[in-house]
Amino acid sequence: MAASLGRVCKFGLLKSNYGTLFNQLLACLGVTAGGISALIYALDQSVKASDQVAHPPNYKWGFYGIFSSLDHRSLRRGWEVYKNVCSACHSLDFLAFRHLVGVTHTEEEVKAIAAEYQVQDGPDDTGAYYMRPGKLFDTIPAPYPNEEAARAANNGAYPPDLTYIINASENGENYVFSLLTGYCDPPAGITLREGQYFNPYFVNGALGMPQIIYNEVIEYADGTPATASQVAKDVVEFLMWASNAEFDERKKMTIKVIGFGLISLPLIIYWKRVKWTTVKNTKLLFTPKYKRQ
Amino acid sequence: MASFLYNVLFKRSSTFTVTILVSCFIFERGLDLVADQIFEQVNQGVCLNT
Ligand code: HEC
Repeated sequence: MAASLGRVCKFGLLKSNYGTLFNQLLACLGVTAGGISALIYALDQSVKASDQVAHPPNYKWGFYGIFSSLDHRSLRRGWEVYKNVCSACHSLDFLAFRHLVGVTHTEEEVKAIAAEYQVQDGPDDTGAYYMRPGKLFDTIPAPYPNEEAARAANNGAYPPDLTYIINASENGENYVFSLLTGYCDPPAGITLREGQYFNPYFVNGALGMPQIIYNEVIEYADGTPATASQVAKDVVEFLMWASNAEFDERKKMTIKVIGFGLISLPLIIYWKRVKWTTVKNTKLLFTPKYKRQ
Repeated sequence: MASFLYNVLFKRSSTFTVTILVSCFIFERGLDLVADQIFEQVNQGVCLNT
């Protein structure tokens, strides 16, 4: 390879003593640009210390491995947590019941879950809207009809839609887990307004959401002990899936891409050698023509 | 063997096309099966169907 490159460039690139003034300038420029980039990166790293907020630690989530799927038993419990706890205030607008089929529950189970909700439908023959039990294709009903109603019920704070909350916040899964389990007494000097609660992981500490996750806050159908950290972990794993519905598919795709890459790599190397063999073996001869005397 | 393959499969564009399509199908299906197998092995007890 190097030899053919050298032939094309008349060995210019490969000579060590080729350093003209221009090349030296170029090298200096490169080093300077690299140095400045490193400096900017380092400064950006250190700037984080000035925020008035605790940074969530990185937990060892089971789904962090490059081939690791979500824990579907945890997802099932996570739905229970959302339904029994979070759904009192937070919507999950971009999920429909049918999305749960084959992920957290079987089709029959999801049909039963959906039927527990009342959904507005219509208009019927007389033009009136009516309520009916939920079906698989309905989106998961929201606790409040609109943002104003949600704010009015929560001291003016708006409980955001949770569907994409993991992707929407920086270091989402660790942040939400820390937020849910991180409530503590406010330090001296912090005054909270009515309906605010101190949470060191929330910027400026005053969060409009009370602590809702305690030990035994719900009872799991599968008998898992519902400690506060277990409940928080399950609901965060569920929200991780809500934000990344294709999560498991992506992990499978990783395996396929690596597999296909391993198969095609030798083929590509062989093909390259076939194509280059003429280039590499070509010899140029200069045969001067002598005039016959 | 090689010349047999060439004469039967690769020589004419028509058979070559069929060869590509059929072998793609078989290869892709095989790769999918193997990848799913590995995925379920790695995520035993955690992912679906295990
Ligand atoms: C009592 C009602 C209530 C319940 C129950 C509740 N939340 Fe909240 N939540 C709120 C309110 C209100 C806010 C907005 C807080 C603010 O902006 O100050 C909020 C905000 C959030 C935020 C966003 C924080 C941010 O960075 O802006 C997340 C994430 C969250 N809730 C997750 C949950 C989860 C998960 C559950 C279920 C375990 C849950 N909440 C249950 C009322 C609630």
